[in-house]
Amino acid sequence: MPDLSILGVALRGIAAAVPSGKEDNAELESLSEKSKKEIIERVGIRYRHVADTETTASDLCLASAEKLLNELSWDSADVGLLIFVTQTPDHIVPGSATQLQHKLGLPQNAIALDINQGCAGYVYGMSVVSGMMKSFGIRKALLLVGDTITKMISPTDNSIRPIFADAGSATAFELDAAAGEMHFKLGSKGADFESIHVPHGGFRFPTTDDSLKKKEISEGIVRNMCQLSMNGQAVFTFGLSTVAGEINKLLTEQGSSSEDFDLLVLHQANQFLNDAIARKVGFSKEKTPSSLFEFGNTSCATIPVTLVSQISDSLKAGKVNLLLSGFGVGLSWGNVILTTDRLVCPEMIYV
Amino acid sequence: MEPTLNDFIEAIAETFSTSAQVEAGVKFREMEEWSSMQALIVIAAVDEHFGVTLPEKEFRKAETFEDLFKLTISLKDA
Repeated sequence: MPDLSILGVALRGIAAAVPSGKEDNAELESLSEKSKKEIIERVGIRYRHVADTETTASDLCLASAEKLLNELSWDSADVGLLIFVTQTPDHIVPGSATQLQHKLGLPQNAIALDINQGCAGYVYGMSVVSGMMKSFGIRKALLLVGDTITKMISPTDNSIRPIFADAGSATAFELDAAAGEMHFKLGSKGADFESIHVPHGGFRFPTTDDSLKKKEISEGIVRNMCQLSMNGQAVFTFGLSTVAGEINKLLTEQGSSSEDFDLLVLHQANQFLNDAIARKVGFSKEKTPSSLFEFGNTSCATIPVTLVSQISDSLKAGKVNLLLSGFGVGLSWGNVILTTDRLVCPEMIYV
Repeated sequence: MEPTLNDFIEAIAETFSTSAQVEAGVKFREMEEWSSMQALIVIAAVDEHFGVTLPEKEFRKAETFEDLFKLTISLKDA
């Protein structure tokens, strides 16, 4: 695989939004005291912001983009590319990016496109945005990344409900000859796609009366076939072996080590897993920020949510050397090395 | 040097509370202390101490801690 490097594309700002309504795992009646303790203390998740029935992922991304464009003092007429990464679009058809183009007032000749990606989606989105900008000479672009994954989760599934939450984000990019290189390392392990998936409701296995019937998978796990299922142990071993291994390969290829970075921002799924990955790639806990306690696993939005909620002061103040790592559904992973410089980073938005 | 069964049991026992009975022949899924989270903790400990990430499909077939030890050795040698 060639070195996936892009020169001359700069990040200008990041904004993130979560629903104002939130659930507290300590108060989830369906969980045993032992499970509550494990989820809060080991998995690291206490609160989860959950969208109401009216709010979609595109709404959370729209709120983020409006705030960001305003704080950047960008004219939306100058934005030539909008990529929306989500697994929870407003409609099955069409994708939501064109509606976001309209709502944000982007010109009609702007490129607007959805990408179906999950936990690695922020880094995948960065690679697509920067690649298209560079190839086509698009001067300004927006990457909108968000999910309302709680809408595809069974409320009676104790293996999943206490983990997932909702969020949206917007990241602004601009062509800039002075910008440093971004180095990507992306990959897939499609053989294990069933480790995180919704079995029915697509066109391989369309929704039937039977697929909507709730079934007890095991004690405390009741869901139907159109709701998200996850093999937590398989995903954990994927993170520990493949993701940690791929981060180490990227570091070796670039001739760098953890000392060359200010921060490693990992996809936020499980604090215990992230501590283990950080240890395997040589990063201290202090250099590996976490937003799990307050925001949970917000699917593709965890990296921007962590950047905005945990390190916005550093991002605003000066140069920050970052290693970002998204991984999960697919299974797939996306790792990127980049340096940001005085980003516009508004405070977390509550919709 | 190849880890012994004793090294393995010692490393696994450290992940449990002191009152837990962690012995080679114990069927771990029948332990009161066992949970899906404890499985992840054991996997992480084996990874850290012995450099082997136990695959989920093969872990599922193991019943005792000794089975996990044998799996670890077979993957370490592979």
